[in-house]
Amino acid sequence: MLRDKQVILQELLVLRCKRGERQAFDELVRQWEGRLLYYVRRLVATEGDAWDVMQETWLRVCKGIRSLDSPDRLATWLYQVSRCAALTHWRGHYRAHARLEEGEKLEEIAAEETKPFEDAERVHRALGCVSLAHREVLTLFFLEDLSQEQMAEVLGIPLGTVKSRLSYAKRTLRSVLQQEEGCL
Amino acid sequence: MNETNRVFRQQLLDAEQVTPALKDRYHKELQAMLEEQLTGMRRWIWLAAAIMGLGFAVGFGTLAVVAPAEFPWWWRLVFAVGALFGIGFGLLGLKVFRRGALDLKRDSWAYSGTAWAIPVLVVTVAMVSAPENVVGLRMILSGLVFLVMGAVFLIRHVVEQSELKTREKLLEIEYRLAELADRIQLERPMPPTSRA
Repeated sequence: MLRDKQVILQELLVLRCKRGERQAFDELVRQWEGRLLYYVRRLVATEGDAWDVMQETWLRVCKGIRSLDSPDRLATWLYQVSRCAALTHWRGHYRAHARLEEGEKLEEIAAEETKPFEDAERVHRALGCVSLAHREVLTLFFLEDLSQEQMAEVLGIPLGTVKSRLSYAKRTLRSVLQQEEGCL
Repeated sequence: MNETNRVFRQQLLDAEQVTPALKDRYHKELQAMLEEQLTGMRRWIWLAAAIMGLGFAVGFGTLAVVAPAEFPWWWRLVFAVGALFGIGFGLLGLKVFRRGALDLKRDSWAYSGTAWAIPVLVVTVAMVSAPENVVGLRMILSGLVFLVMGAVFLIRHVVEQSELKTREKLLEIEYRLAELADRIQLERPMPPTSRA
């Protein structure tokens, strides 16, 4: 069974970075900058903070890419690194918000919505209105680089919690969108 | 990822507004993180170091060639290798001077390589020229420990690089196969549609 070409190209890029090829690193930055910035921007308060976190992220990537043993883990690893950089940057604030989500329950999985979100512009605005933990899981979901197992790895929580958090977050987002619609 | 999701993701990413000034500053800082721009004086210092390296190369090279016949052979070898290092350092210095910037990743590898090679050479020479007595034996033994450590470091690096290159080649083959499979898929004639 042949793998997706994009996946193979990503792995090749990692190997080139590991061999110390400067152009490969520039390419990696170019390919991932947008998505990581979007994710990081959802975790920190200001745009300035987000750029600082991005810089810290690339510094960590540059230093640590040689230790990335499985190139197929690139996406997970990049999100983990950027998340760690964001946590370091904004530790106290993040913790306070993350704790609010501890009361989630697994039974919400059953009620998971499958209806897709359509208006990206509105979703983008509405993401700012949901709690940090929900925003984070929704952002990872919308960016679609990771499976739910990989999301669990990035967030450092069990798969079941990712499912319930995502389900709850989608419903919250939908209600925010509906409220916004009602105001118009 | 299906096309609808891809479009949605792109729209979401496009919705992120960034301040050009902040983005510019980030790019400059990122560049500075990987590459250190050399300003006037420091650039000239690199040129001076390059000239010095090349000067040493000429000096050592001359000594290796014109040394008197009674000179031990290992001294000629030392001079010859010294000349090679001089050339290497000179070329590196010239490259950095021409570029006007120090690549913190690539150039640091070149320095650490040189820093590794020089002590190995010195230790080898010390071992070869060790006197034939207990002190000499002690010199050789301690030198061996150092050389073994150096060899382990070098072998590890070479193995790692070869492994990465092999994996790269395998992935390239896999990519070509995937491309071929796609092409075959495209060129395959469509199955005849059933008539109503």
